[in-house]
Amino acid sequence: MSKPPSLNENRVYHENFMREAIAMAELALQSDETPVGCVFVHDSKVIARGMNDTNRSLNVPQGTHHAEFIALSQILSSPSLSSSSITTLLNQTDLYVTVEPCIMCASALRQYGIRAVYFGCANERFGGTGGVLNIHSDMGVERGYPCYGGIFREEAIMLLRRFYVQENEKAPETKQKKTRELKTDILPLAVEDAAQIDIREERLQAEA
Amino acid sequence: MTTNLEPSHPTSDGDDNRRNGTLIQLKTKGEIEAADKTINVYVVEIPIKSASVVLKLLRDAIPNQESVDLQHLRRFAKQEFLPDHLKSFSTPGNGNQSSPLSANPRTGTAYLLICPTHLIPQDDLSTLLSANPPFSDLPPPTILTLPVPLYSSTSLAQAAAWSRTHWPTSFKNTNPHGPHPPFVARAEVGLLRDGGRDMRKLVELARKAGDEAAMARKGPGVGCVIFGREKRGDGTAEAVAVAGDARWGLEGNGCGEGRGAGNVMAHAVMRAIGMVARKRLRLDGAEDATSQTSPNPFADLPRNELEKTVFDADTLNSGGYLCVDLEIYTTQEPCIMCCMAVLHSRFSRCLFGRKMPRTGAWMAESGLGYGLFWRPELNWKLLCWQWDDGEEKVDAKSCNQSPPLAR
Repeated sequence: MSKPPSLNENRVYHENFMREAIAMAELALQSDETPVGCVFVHDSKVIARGMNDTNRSLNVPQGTHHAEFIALSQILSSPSLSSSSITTLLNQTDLYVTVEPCIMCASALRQYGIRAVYFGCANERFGGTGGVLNIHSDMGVERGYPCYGGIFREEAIMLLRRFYVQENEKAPETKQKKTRELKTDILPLAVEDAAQIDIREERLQAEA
Repeated sequence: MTTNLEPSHPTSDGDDNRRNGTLIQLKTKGEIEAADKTINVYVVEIPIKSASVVLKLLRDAIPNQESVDLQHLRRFAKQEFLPDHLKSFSTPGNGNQSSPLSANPRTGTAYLLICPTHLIPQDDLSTLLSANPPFSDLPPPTILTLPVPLYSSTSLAQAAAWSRTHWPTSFKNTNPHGPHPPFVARAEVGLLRDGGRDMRKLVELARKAGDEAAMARKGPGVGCVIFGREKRGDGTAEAVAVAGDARWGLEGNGCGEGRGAGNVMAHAVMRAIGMVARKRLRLDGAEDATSQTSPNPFADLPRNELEKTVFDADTLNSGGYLCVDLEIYTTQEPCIMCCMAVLHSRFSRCLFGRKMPRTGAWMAESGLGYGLFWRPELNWKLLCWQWDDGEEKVDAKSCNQSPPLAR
């Protein structure tokens, strides 16, 4: 297995792919979906794109259709996969996702054998790669994977905040969002704790 | 809490002697962490007739006594109710700080649990007691420092154990680290409806689904059933979706036959949750309720007659949200991904057959220890039991774990 590109050596390389993930999150926001987007990168090329699809997939709520799963289903549907196994392919594949993978996705990625994960902002509500649990590096049957956060973190947070002031009609108790204001101040990473309280609330709202 | 279930009267279904199953409620991660947490407290022997005088003295002198909730501990204990090691430590003579509680069994005295030691220095307490009745007319009291359980017991058995090892403890039928015990007891009554036959039918359905997928070489023989009680209205549990694990069942894409992780998102739990979404869509009258791509990596539509029969059954009301008010049984403890999917889907109860110490995420007291069903950090909690009917044993396959990734 070749090594994943390190975060500091080639920042531009990673930022280019995170831009593509953010574009997917923008698309999700436009379709009233939780704005989380991702791309899977193999051999420096995007092989699949995903956006959260929990609210509108097939017009019914499906709480497990996170962006990572949508993109993985594309990879699994690809005819080019017939000769090599999914695990072999993903062993050479990196994920770029705007929000830290949740516990469910973090475990799926480990079982599929992902090489590395790069994310934008942390997810203190459900995060599986440091936010709440460390599914990527804990003891487990499968090999763990390295995970790097903070690429375009502010953009990822702002996407969630913009969603927070939109309505989620599918939620059982529609919260009054008309009175909500879009906050634009983002604390630097050094005071992450305070900022992540915001993310936590937004993510909670988004997933509700 | 363990509820043993034997059919109480013979029935005509021919297997009345067979055990239907036992519910073994899982301990939460918080319960396990709290179980051995103790706090040091002062204890002193006082004449019973002076109890109210001493309590008032202490209340006035130590105003923040309520800052630590020790309601689960007896405030006064007669000597005969003390743990044995406190009784037997007795040596003749009194007045020595290190001496045990009492020289001889006495009548007319009891042991008072004063307060946690951090609230007042022992010398100050000693001075206070000695300067006031009844000790102003008696030799200075012996003040003992004892570790006592910090949190409420979560069962009668635990309270009894702590009474033997630490200090007389009562069971208040509460659980600060998990679901409220009466709520769990009510849920167990529902799960054990009809002498457990209700549950057994569902368990057998899940097992059959797992077996069929295994025989078709599509998965490792794991099955899952999602059930609800909303349609019939009399509390009867009805299957809403049943799925066999189909991780090796994605045609022509290298997801292996019988080897490797395969298509992870086709684990039985993920498939069954997907089928509930499809079923809701059909109730909505959507035209694309059962359309799928080929291949369909989510595998969220029936793949054999058994799965189809349950999928087609009219067992779900329209207007529901995700899997709210639904319950789920898996033949083995689900993996981390599947457990979190159950939380994301807002299930109310989960049960499983075989413990999976190397991969399962429900258990807190053993294995990986995640205890995902009840974690204060997460925004959903549900009740969780192992369903033991003697059929599913702890996974015994030898399989080495990878060490944590070097960082």
